[in-house]
Amino acid sequence: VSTLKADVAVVGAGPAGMAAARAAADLGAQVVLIDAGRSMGGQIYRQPATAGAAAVTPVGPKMPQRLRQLEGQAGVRHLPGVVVWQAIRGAGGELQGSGAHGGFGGGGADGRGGAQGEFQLWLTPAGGGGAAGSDGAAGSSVATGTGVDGVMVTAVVVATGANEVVVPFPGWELPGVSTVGAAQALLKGQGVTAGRRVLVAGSGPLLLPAAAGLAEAGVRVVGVLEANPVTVGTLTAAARAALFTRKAREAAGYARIFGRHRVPVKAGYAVVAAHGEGRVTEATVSRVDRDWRPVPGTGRRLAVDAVHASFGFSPALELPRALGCADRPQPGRPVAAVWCDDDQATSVPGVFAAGEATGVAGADVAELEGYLAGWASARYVAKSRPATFHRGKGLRAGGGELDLSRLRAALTRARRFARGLDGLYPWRSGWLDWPEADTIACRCEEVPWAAIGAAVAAGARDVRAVKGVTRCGMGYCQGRMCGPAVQQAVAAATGRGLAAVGDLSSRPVLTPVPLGTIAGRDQSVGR
Amino acid sequence: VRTETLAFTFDGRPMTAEAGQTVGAALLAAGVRSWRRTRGGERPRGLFCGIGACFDCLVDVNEVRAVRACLVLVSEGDEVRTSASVGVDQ
Repeated sequence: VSTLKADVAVVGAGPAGMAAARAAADLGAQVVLIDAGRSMGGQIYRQPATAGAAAVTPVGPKMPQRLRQLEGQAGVRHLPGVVVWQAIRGAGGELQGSGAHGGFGGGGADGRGGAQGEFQLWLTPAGGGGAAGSDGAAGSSVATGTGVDGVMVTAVVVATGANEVVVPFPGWELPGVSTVGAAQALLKGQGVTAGRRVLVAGSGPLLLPAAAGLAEAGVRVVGVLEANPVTVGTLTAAARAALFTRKAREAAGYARIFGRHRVPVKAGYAVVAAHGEGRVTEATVSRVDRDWRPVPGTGRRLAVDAVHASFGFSPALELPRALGCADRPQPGRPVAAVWCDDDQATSVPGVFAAGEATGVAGADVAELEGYLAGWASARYVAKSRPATFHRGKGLRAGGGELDLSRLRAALTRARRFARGLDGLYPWRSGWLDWPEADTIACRCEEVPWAAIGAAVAAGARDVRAVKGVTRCGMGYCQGRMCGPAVQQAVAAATGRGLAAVGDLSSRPVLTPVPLGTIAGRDQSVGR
Repeated sequence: VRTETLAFTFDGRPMTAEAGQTVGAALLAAGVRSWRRTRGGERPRGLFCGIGACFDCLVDVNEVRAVRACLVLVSEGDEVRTSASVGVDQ
């Protein structure tokens, strides 16, 4: 167990993090790429982990070749299967006696003397249980084998992606009800489906590849219900209008799959309840109005053995907030993002951000922001170590040189399309009519929906107060699941705005860890 | 990608998993939907977010309690058990 020193820590190995690692390493920085997954790619480019998954018909965007080339790239040390549980600014040079060592060996450590360890990130295995690199947890499967339980770096690139946004409805805690992302992770990574008669519902572009993948895998998809009035045709037209022919082809491909498997795809519909004893066996679906309120008299029950529902994404802000990075509000949505300047620099010197953490915009924007963030982080590191910054070399992507002006132009175009797409999927409040008094609001602490209104009636005026009274957001997930819904519920109950009631701000630790992990850290590091 | 089959048990019942498979995926593939009881209402829970964020899929593996089934891989001979009353004094 030891601490690894490097120039840049990139946290997250999805498209943003992979691009950032590549760009920073191309420019001479020594990069450590930290990721919860065992393979690079993140959620969008999740790689098959089993033979069964490898045999699944691939649906949706595939990892571009230029990112695949990151595997084994010189100057990038990949730490798979670990997550950051504590992030500390400063404390440079405090690692005497803790076993700190350079991870690159030989000539790779040249010129490191000038770089200060400005940030510490402490790591734990992604599955939970035991210290990173230890062998004791859950057999050998939790052990990461990296032997590294912390990194000390000059710059950090936050590429932590996003969490799926879910909203409560009666029965949503039943086994068999899960997110749309869960369907994707199970199918693409594991070659497994959660059921044989499946309903896919919610809002956002993710519904389409997820449902198409399930249909191609032989699952009976009994419905794809988009709450907003957006059809596959709307998407195709929007992509064509923005001259994103690749995206237009992608949407048309989903439409063909739905046609071939006779999958009913409906806009302006939602799953408003799940039913079953100990597991889901039926779902109530309903037409919803423009605000997602159920249209009376349109509800009907469908027999299902699995429901996948989610409503877009919420930037994962645990790490940037721990580092002190300022937020950027997302108007009209109960989520926030990391604020960045045009070079992907956050409000904290030495911390850069890219991808969904800076605002949900999809894989194309994420990758382009990643190259910029990687470049900017290498430039930042080079201030203390100018000799090793490959000034004349430029950024390489896809084997060729990619200059900054072309990169920025591509980013502007990709962001324009992302904004257009975002506009098709507004966040509405009519779902507030779906839960009943005893519907679980906070899954971890099993807080009933009525408790939120009761807390507000008793005087709570913001999310923080409601959390204190009800325990919403105090459980294992620390509000990652109920946060957006609780924020909107409190805003509605108090008659205040989403920004005014605040959110379930993340606080240490960044992910639950066993006490042994905390106690087991070298005392010379902790302060 | 490996193709071997691993043997493990779930609450004493013999099960198999593909190499590289998570505990959660192996259980779902075997038709098991739930492997945790909540500490408040002792309600059944299973896999929800599928990517390690929600902690609904907590399961006990060998001597370790409350690991996330969606992330932890099956190892040959693992004894997997329903995770009950997490956080409650035994």
